[in-house]
Amino acid sequence: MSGATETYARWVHELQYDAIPEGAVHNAKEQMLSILGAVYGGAATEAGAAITSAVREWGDREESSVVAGGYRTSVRSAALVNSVNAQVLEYEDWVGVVHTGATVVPVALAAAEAMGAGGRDLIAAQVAGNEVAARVGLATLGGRGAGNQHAVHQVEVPLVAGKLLGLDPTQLMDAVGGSCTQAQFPVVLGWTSHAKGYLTGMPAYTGIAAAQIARHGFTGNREIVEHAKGYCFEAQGLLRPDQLTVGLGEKWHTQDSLTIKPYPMCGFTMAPTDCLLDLVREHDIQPDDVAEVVVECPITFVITGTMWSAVPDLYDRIANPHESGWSWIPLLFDGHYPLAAAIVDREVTPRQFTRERIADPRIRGLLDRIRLVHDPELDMALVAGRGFGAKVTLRTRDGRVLEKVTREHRGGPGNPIDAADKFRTATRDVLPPERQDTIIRAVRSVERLENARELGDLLRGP
Amino acid sequence: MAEQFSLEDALHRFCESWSKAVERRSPIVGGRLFHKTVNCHTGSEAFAVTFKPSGAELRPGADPAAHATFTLSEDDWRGLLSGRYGVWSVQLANRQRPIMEEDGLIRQLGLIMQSFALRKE
Repeated sequence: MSGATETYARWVHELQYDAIPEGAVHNAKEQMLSILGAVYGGAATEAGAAITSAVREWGDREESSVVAGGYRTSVRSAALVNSVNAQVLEYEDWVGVVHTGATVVPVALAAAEAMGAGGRDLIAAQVAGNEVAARVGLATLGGRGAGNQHAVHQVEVPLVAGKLLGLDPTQLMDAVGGSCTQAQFPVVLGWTSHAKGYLTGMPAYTGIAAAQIARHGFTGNREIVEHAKGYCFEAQGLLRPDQLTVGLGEKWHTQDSLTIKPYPMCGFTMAPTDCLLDLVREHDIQPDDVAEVVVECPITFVITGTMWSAVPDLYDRIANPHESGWSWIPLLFDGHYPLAAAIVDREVTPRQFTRERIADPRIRGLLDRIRLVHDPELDMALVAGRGFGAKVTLRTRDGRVLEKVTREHRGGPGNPIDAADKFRTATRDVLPPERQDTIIRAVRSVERLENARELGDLLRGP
Repeated sequence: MAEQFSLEDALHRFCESWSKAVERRSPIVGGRLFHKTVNCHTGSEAFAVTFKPSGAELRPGADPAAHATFTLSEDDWRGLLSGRYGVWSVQLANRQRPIMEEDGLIRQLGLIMQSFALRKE
């Protein structure tokens, strides 16, 4: 019986667009649009400017487009830049229990453009990546890392790239073996800085390289995913090997469990943000009206929402990035800042993580009025697969008590958002409306594209 | 004037809460803490906490056979036990240096401490 590495290689190699259910195709296009929004948003940050100009200087062969960068570069370098930019605003997605969009979309786009593949092949590769990553995630859930720290990408990236680069199943196995031999595990401390983008950017770069090299006969271990001492064990801890291939080709995680983030933030913050925005907008709450905001939440939000709370000079470091090396990125995980910004600005978008908004005294003045309360019932709901819930109680200075509850935040499988709306919000400061509409139309009909280079041409311009 | 912090008193209250939670079969508690002893230090004083299915026991002094040693400043014990932040927060602030083999246990205990401080009534 074949192990997971071989099973993935054969299944990915054989997967054709026509075998993918309509719901998965639809979601793949939504995911692509969402990620492109994140990429444009990320490209407009200091991190995006730095990586875009750095890679341009490399002068690599011109085969794939850097979104908003104005140039083509090698397939792996384009995927690096686009993946980093998709990552630096924490504005991506997850499928099953792992974050996939910031790798599968940039890698598929870059490889498809380099090979002149059509839109149907592009979608098939992207979906294949989601399906593999989701299963690796489920097999290693509860191990070393969770959320964006959950190490999976060195499995799916070489498969996505390799499929489009024309690797046969044996070469795909070697590509995965090569990619997984130097396991990469995210160091969360680095998420204070632009380097957080490397968490998907580097696996994208090295995974594509592994695929390109495997095509020339360079071998890798062909059991590396499922082996007792393989990648899943070393990087995460392989707790449920039976989950690695279950339902492959029958159950489609891309269709059933895609969550697209409506806001640039940690996934655990979304339910409280939904509740608070609804309250502020419905009741026309002004910042000075607020006496207290109480957020009842799962333990996951408590842990990540306070992860930077012991750093006494957090805001000084963020305000002085060149001296400190820190950035806005810690606040994407904070349990207080995004909620305070939501009260003042009535939205949480990339704009709320600019230096100007972070320094706003009205936002800073609300931070101490936000209090987290751990509700174990919400943990139970999470464990039972009922999504992230929250309850927000807003007490006003004039004595009103306003409450909002959600069982599943916007963007989840049971409460999907329109990815075009997200794309417009994410790109409103960088793209004019006509260009937004052109890109949305192109992505929503990507399966009709004969050559992905046309999409690259469209996305490359600033 | 800031209230005088007593690690012993704070740990005593935590042990009582933990024991009641175990009795109620409350989620999160128990599990990997059962039959483990953790030495809790400020640097100048130490206490050993042993977690059993029957409850948590607090003893003065460090236990040489403890499974983990958990050292925080008085301020950080205050921060953790008030729920203001967790042990991961203190580690990311570079004020608690874990030993790899003990880190899982420390993080689990810290999670429960923070959770108890913030738990819905």
